[in-house]
Amino acid sequence: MDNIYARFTCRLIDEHLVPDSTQLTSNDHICDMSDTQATVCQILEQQKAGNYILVVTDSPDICNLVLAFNPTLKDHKISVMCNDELYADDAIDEFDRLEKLLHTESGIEYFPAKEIEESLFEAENGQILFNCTDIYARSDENTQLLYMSDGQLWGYVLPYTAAHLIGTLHNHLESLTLSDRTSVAVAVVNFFKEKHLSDSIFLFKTENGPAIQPVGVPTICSGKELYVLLYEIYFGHAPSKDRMLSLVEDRMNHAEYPTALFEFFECAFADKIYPGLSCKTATLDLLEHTLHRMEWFTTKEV
Amino acid sequence: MIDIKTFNTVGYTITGRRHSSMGKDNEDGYEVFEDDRLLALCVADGCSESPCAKAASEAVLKALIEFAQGDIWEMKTKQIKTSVLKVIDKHLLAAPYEYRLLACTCALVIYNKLSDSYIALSIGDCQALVMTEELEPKQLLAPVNIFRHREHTVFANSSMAANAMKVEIGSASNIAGFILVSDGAEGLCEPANADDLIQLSSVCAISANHAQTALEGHVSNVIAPATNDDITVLMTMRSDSDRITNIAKATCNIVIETDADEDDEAVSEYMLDEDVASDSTLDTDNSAESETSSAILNFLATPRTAEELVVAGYCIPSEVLSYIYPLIKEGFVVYDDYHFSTVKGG
Repeated sequence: MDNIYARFTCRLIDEHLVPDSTQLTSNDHICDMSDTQATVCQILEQQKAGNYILVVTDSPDICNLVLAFNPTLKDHKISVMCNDELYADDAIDEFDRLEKLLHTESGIEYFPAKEIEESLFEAENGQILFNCTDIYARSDENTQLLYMSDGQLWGYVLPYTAAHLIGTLHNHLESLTLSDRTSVAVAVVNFFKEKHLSDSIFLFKTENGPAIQPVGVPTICSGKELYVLLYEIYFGHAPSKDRMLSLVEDRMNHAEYPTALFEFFECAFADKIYPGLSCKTATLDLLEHTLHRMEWFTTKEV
Repeated sequence: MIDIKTFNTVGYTITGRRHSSMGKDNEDGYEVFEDDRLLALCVADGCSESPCAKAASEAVLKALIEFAQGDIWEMKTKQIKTSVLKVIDKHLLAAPYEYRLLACTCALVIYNKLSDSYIALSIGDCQALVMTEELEPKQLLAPVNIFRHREHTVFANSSMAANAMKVEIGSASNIAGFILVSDGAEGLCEPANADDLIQLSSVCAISANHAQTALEGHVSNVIAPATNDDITVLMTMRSDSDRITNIAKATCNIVIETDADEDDEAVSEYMLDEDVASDSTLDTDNSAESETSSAILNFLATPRTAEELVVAGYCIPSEVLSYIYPLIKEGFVVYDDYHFSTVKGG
């Protein structure tokens, strides 16, 4: 008579598979093989109760039947040892996943299912997880932080889904319209004012137009750095050391841009263009006014 | 019971000699709006260098009148600046031309009949004066002339507009009237010409009909010969104050009774009293525009940095490129190694 040994354990699979299958423990269930269907039902009943099961059998039929159920099981995959040969790939994969399981303070669990950019993962539910261990990198107080099973900070959840992700802002500037650039510039200024602006920025496409998410530790802290970033957003490249040269060339290349934008950047780079004059450089007020005007301008463009 | 003041308002605008000689339209304009609660007066001066100057001044005038009718009386200065530019932008963007080409300066005075207060604002080199009840002119909004260079000002579509905008809010309790002028009529605001201004405002306080004739005569015969620019003068004076009327009658060089007794001869006499400038001041050979271009090209015969252009008074920081760009575009000037320079043989 074939015997089925089923052991219920929450230990790691590499621990509970090692013991000699012939040595029964008090936790083991020994089932009569006379009714295969009833035996499998009994195994699955234990599995549904949330137990990890190792089925020990000398029957290839039972082995194949049980393993056939595994793909239908969301978790608690069943392992089988048939004639001293272990079939545990599904369970091992599940344990690997469990080891990567992330937790939030709210108790929500995430799997960093698929890496879609450097340090950027798409969770099974479509959310984007950002792997960054610096607590100061989070964009605001409401950011959902992610922890590893050992309690260490792993990163946080970005407020967009992977379906919205376009990619790194700097790699997609050419695809933006002037209207998009202004939307991005306004968002950049808002992040700057909130002191959450870094030079690593992801670009998303939402129903309300382009959106951005700076990731990483804030690195853009001065107006000068901000103005250079805004210049890149509008013109697709950083201004050269000779700021006026860039402005002259870009004005040639972007005759469709309003004069006010060039005047703003001339003012923003006043310390480089007029080093001896101690000119009043651009202010956030002037910047916001220029962007406000750009919004009107680009509204017309649309 | 609220004492609602009433005003005589007159305005006149004519094409300047330069535009006449070029066959161009008058790029200045003015608008007046009056209802039971407010009187709004505005002037606008299109930038001659812009191909859409006329459209710009028309759009801005509409915008200013729309702004004047809004809920503005609780606003602080900063809010007024933002709000008026928002309305201006709306009208400029509705115009069938590129926004950047719609350059003009403007001035606006809004008098609140209920609160006897006013809001005045200007962008660029249009200016406004008030006439006190003693009929003394005082400057309300000074023109923005960069480095005293009359070609350099700030336009309503400039990024500098908010910063350069002048706003005055005050009580009109001791004010007999307001006068708004474009830069073509800036001479009228000079202290040396205060008598002219007093005469015109006196006539205006007594009779709108006479004032209109007197204003047209003064603009055509006195101001126009002395400038190449388009000219606009808009004035309003209280007509219901016996004190002001008596002072006006005492001040006025001519005898004017009422609007009903219109006396063209008297007005002509007034006009003849003016020392009308002779045609010898006319100089249509060279336009100011070409003079400016020649000057800058000569200056750039030696390579100059942007800083040197500012120091020399050609333009202000932040607008050097805007100033030079047309010359770069036309191939007259190049930029290389931190210096602008005139193209040899360009």
